[in-house]
This record gives sequence, structure tokens and C-alpha cells, in this order.
Amino acid sequence: MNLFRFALDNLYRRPARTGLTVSAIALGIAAVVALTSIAWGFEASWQKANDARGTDLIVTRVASENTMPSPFKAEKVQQALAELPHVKEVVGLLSEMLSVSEDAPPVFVFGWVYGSYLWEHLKLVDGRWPASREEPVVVIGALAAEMLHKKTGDQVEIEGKVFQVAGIFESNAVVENGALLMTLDLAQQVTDKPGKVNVLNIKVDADATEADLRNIKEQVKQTLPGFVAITSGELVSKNAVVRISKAMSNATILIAGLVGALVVFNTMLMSINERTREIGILLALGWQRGTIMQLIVSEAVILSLAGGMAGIVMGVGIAWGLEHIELMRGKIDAIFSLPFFFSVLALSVLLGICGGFYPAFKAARLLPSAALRHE
Amino acid sequence: MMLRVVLAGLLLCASAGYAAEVTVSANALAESMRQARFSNGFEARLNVFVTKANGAHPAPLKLAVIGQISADRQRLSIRGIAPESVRNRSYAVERGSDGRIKGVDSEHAGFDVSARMFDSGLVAWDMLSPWWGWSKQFLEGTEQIDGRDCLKLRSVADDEKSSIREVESCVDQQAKLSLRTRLYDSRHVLIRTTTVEKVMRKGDAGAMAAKKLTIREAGKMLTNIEVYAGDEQYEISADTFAALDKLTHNEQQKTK
Amino acid sequence: MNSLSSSLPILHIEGLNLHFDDGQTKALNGIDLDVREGEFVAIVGPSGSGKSSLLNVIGTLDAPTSGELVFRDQPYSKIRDASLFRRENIGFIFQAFHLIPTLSALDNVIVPTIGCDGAADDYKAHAEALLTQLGLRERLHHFPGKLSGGERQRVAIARALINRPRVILADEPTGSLDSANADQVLNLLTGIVKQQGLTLIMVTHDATVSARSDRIIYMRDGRIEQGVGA
Repeated sequence: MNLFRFALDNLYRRPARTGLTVSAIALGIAAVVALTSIAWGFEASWQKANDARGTDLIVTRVASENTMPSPFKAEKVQQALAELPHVKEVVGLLSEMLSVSEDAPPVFVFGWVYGSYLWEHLKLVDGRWPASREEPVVVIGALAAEMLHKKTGDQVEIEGKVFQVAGIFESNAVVENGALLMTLDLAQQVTDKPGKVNVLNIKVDADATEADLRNIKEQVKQTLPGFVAITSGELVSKNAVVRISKAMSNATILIAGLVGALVVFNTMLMSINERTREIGILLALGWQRGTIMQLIVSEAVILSLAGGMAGIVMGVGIAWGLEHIELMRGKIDAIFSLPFFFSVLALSVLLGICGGFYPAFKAARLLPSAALRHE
Repeated sequence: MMLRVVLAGLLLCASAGYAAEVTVSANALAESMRQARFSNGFEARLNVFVTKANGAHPAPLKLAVIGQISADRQRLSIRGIAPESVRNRSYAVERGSDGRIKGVDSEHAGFDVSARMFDSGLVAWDMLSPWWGWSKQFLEGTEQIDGRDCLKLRSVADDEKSSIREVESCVDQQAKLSLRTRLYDSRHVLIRTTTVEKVMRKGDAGAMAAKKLTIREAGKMLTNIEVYAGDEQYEISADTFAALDKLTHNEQQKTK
Repeated sequence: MNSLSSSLPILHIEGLNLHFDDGQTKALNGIDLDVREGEFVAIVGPSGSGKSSLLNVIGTLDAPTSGELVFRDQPYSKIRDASLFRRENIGFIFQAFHLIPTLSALDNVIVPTIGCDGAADDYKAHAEALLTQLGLRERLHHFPGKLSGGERQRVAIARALINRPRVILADEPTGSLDSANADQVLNLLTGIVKQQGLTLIMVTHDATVSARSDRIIYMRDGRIEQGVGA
């Protein structure tokens, strides 16, 4: 018999109330887990896509906050960038979210400069790559192929133009796995954006240092008004969707934390009101006020920790479910890690402590003789 | 973003721009809406879903709208992308400084700019939203639409032959967006109502852009429009409005 | 009793007052009392005479309004931690047993040791020994709901003894029991108290119980009317 077991026994005493409280906390924590993992996953996936391409710096229009930055004429900017020191390659990229099938949600259509380094990190699993910059073919990510029910040799219609699927590729970034890929020239034609790109990818030479990268950024700022050079991480963190999803996950953490603490608070307050006489007995038996506080806070923490653990399981389930529903496939890639789970459990413990503190304080302040007289 | 706002302006008689003063005269409000639509070139791509009066749903349409709008000339080109039945069908429309509106379709024939295009609720005349330039403008109080405050503005046509004689807009002044636009004929019969269903925040000055709109016609046909892509700095090429130029040229020849 | 009379007072009470409602209710009014180590004192008197209030003040559950209380050489006014004082020196037994329904007999006895220094196994062994001594060897793992009134009170006695107190304060411990059970519980309690040389202060209405005490204190209206050595 110890404090922990005693606290557990006290919670078992009211299984329905304990169950409801744990469920309420679990729901809140599940929302936190699902939204946070998706928000982080979303950010990581974009970053992974950029990193995997081997891009060191990305040049976009200033204040580009959309999913993809707004398009601009590439030629002059590209030339100016190519002249900067340590710049090895400058490659344009055009991207749109387009619906290519009535049965499937919109997918990303990427246009990459034919023969550029961007293609190198992809793994062809079937068929072949486009043979020239004008060949009217696309290659599609493995996940997109599955979603659109397309295989090599099939046809896809993009913005009213028909393309043959030349091959299927795999990437370690879910954004690319769920996308259709064509040469930049074709993408510009099909979206009626001749000569335009969303971003210019810069690859620097092997000698370039961090200072050189900073120098390139500074040069872009000074010589190319309206443009900004940033790392992929900076671009992703500026992305409106990433920002919104992160803000939503933060808001959820706040609301779930607050609601969780209130639920624990309410439950513990009810519990100590019911157990006033028992607390009086414990005090009469020589329990110190600190031990009473420990007991009540332990009960609160056990409740919230159980809710936290159940919430993690539920949250993982929700995120997994969302990843697999047709509308979301290929767009989210929830990220879980042990430190994340521990943080969620720490959050649970914190809300248990917060919710349990006042009831514990109130219980510890009871006058033993008055508590013993309590009916 | 500008693109979507400009598009919203065309479709919705609303447009993007910077917030005007909270208290404005009716004419100043109309003028600010007119000016905010100016663009050297834009392109927008739309998904159009039509629900006919009998409840039938024809195949969804994908359209591209290209426009160039200045103080003395407004030109729009509306082109079908998908499905096959509308592909390569297009309409071009122009409103000159004299206020005269003319249109030409892909068959190089003139077309009625007040008629529906692509069997949907889209009407070229509405997309030009000429009422912002009319001289008779009246403020008629405020209203709330979907929790957003807007100023009710009644515009009355200068030309008594105009099939649309009165337009009632409800303008969210800060967002520079007409949240609801009602078009009436000479007998004050409601012809069409355009409503913003979904807005998105612009990066600047609190202006909002329409992401989804609905056009409800008196004949019960419903058209839902969603902007899915576009380019707010579209480069107008020599052949973008070639059909219009040809029409103008022919007219000049005839005059001679 | 001669040996008792010669022993030192474990408890010295002088001029003790306990007032409530700004002095309008005088629960205890000028109590003077010495209790010797190992003595069995019965407090009797009508309801509302202040018996339980006196027990509460002695057990540090209530703080006196005025007066002096000394436990051995330690004045109550110098006690810094009343809980610790209770744990080390006082064992409480209540009329309504006040066992925790979700804990077994054994765990109920161990409850007062939670938060104490010392090995859990030692406390458990001590609790088992006490319950065995009280005839509950076979009932260690029974919950209060499965025990008779007499058995419950025996568990409560074991609980009062677990921290090896010097004084047992019992508030009508046989009040809820039939006469056979009351007799058995009283025999066991007095037997252990005597065996361990503990001091027992018991509030009772039962004349047969008080008759077995070393001394009976009569209380009325918050005062001691008469003290009689048994």
C-alpha cells in the first residue's frame, strides 16, 4: 500500500466519473496529437521535398504566403542569380494544384527543368523518364498513381490537354509521391504561364560556406527588388498552410489544455467534496497536509496521464485515418516521435497538476475536526 | 492574390484594393471599386458547377479568364478548358471608354453579352461590372452577411435601354468585396444574385478575395464557381484579344 | 492502580477553554485535568457536554481558545506540526469506524503510515501482527463491507495502533456495537493497551464500559463536574 495505489483505488471508486473524465481528456489530447503531428508532418514533408532535391537556396517573390509562391518571369532573375559567386545551378520550378480526374481530389502538378538536378533524387519504379523537354508525357508519383488509378502507358488530362504516363517514380517526400511531374516547358504551356516559375532553386558549389549562402541572400535582397532568397526551411515556415496548420495545432493545444485542466479541476473538486470526512480521518490519523495534497494531485495526474495515453493512441489513429481517406491521401504525412509523445504526456501531467492543485490545496486546508463532522 | 480579387471583382462586381475611408459617398465608393479592378493583365482558372432548374448537373466546367482593365478600356477573354464539349470555345468582350460593350465568340461572330456563356450563370456583362461607372449611385444603409458588415449600394443605369437597370451591391468596405450583388431589370424584377460563399485573406491591408461564389438566377439555375489557380501578372500577348482587335478593325472598315 | 498514581502525568491540562461563535458557544470551559501514563480514563456525560470536544483538543484536531496543555514535557503551544504530533503520539478510534471502503482490512491499517519514513514491508508486518492479535488473521484481505461491526472496529483499533502511539483517544468505540461485540472489542482494546502500557482516554455513554476504567471524568456544559479514581 502506497500513495500511488491509494490514489488509484480512490479513482476506481467512481469508475463512471473516472472514465468520463479520462475520455474527455483523451479527446482533447487526441486532437492535439493528430493536429500537431499533421502540422509538423506537413512542414517536414515540404522541407524534405526541397532538401531531397539538393536545393541550397530558393528564390521567390517577396510576401509569398500561398501554398506555392506566386509565379514570375524567370529569365532575368535566373541570369542575375547565375552570376552570383558560388552559384552552380539555377533551376526553375512551376507548381499548381490541379484536378486531373473527376473521381480524385486535386493533386500537385510540378514542372521541373528537363535534365536538371531536381530529377536526380527520384527513383523510377516503372516506365521511363521524359525523353525531351517537349515530349508530351508526365511521370507520376507512386501514391498519385494509386489514387488516380493510373499506370505507365495510360493517359491523363491536365487542363484540357492529354498526356501519356511515361513512368512512375518514388520519392521520400509524400508531397512528391502524390504529385504529377512534367518538364517545365510543358507545365508552362498547360497552365498558360510562358516563361514563368514559382521558385528558382539555387544549388551552390562544394566550396560554398554558410557565409557564402548569407552573402547570396544579401545580394538578392539588394540587387533583385521584390525577390527574396531563403532556405527551404524558411520558405516552408512562411508557407500559409504550414502557418495555419501550426497555429491551429497551437490553438488546439491551448484549448485542450484549458478544457482538460478544467475537467480535472471539476472532477477533483467533486471528489474531495464527497470525501471531506475521509480527508478529516486521514488528517486525524496523522496524515500531513502535504501528503493530502500529494494524494489529490496524484489522482489528478493519474487521470490526466491515463487520458493522455488514451489520447495519444486515439490521436495516432485519427492521423492515420486522415492520411488514408481519399481526400487527404498524399497531402499529409503525420510525424510522430518519442520526444513528441513524451511532450504530450508532459502536457497531460501539467494539466493534471494545474487542474488538481486547487482541489488539493482546498482539501489540505480542511480543519480535521470540521471535516470529521461533515455529513 | 490580386488575381483572385480581380476575378472576384469581375464575377461579383466586387474588387480588390486598399480599404477606403469608412464613411464615403456612394459615388466615391463605386469609384473606388472601379479603380481597384485595374490590372495590366491577369488570368484565373475556375471550376464551374451548374445545377439546372430541374436539378440536373451537367459535367463540371473548367474555364480560364484572362483580363486587362484600365480606366478607358476593359477586355476579357473567357476560354473553355474542359470538358471536351467546351474546349476551344471562347468569348472575348470589351468595354470602351464610351461605355459601349461588344463581344465576339470563337466562331468570330458577335454574341449577346447579356446572355449566359457555356450554359452556366456566367454572363460577360456582369463580369465587366459596368455599374461601378454609372453616375447614379445611392447608399442605402448597412447589412450583415455571414457575420460581415457591408454597405448597401444601389446603382441605377444611365442608359434606360440597358436590360439591367438597377444593381444592388453590399460592399465590405475594408475587404473591397461585394458580398452580394443583385441585378434587377427595368420592372425591378430580380434577374440574378451573386453571393460570395468563401473568402480568403489577401496579404495586404485586410482586403479579402472571393474563393467561392454562387450565381443564383431567377430561373432557379444555380452556378457555383471556385477559383483554383491563376496568375495575377499575366502577360497579355498579341493574340490574346486578336478576335476583338479584328472585330474593331472590321467595324472601322465598315465606318469608312 | 497504585503504580499509576505514582507515575508522571502524560497529559496536563489547565484552564482549557474552547469557544465557538466569538465566545457565544462554550464547548469547553475551564478544564483542568491530569492523565497519567498508562491510565484508562473514561469521559462520560450527556450529549453536548463537551466530551468529544475535549478529545478533539487533546488529539490536536481542534486548537483551544485558551488554556495550557502539556504532553509529557511538551506544551501544545510549541507543537509546530500537529499532524506529525498526532502520527507519533495519538491513535484515534471513532464510533462509526471510519474505514475506507475500497481498501482491505490490512490496507486500512497501513493507511496512516503512508507518507511516513520507514520500510513498507515493516509496516505491513506490523499491521498483520496487530490484526492477528485482534483475531482478524483470516480477514486481512476482506473489505470493510464484508466485515461485521465488531470486526470493523477491531480493524480501526489496529489502525490506531499502527504508528505505535502513546495515547489512544476513543470516541464511543462500542457505541455502534451489540453488547457481545462491544464486550469483545473492549476486552481486546484494554488488553492491548495494558500490554503495551498505553494511555487510553475514552468517551462513552455505557456505564459498563466506564466501570472498567481507572478513572471516570464526568462532564456537563463544558466543565468537569467530578473526577473519581476507579
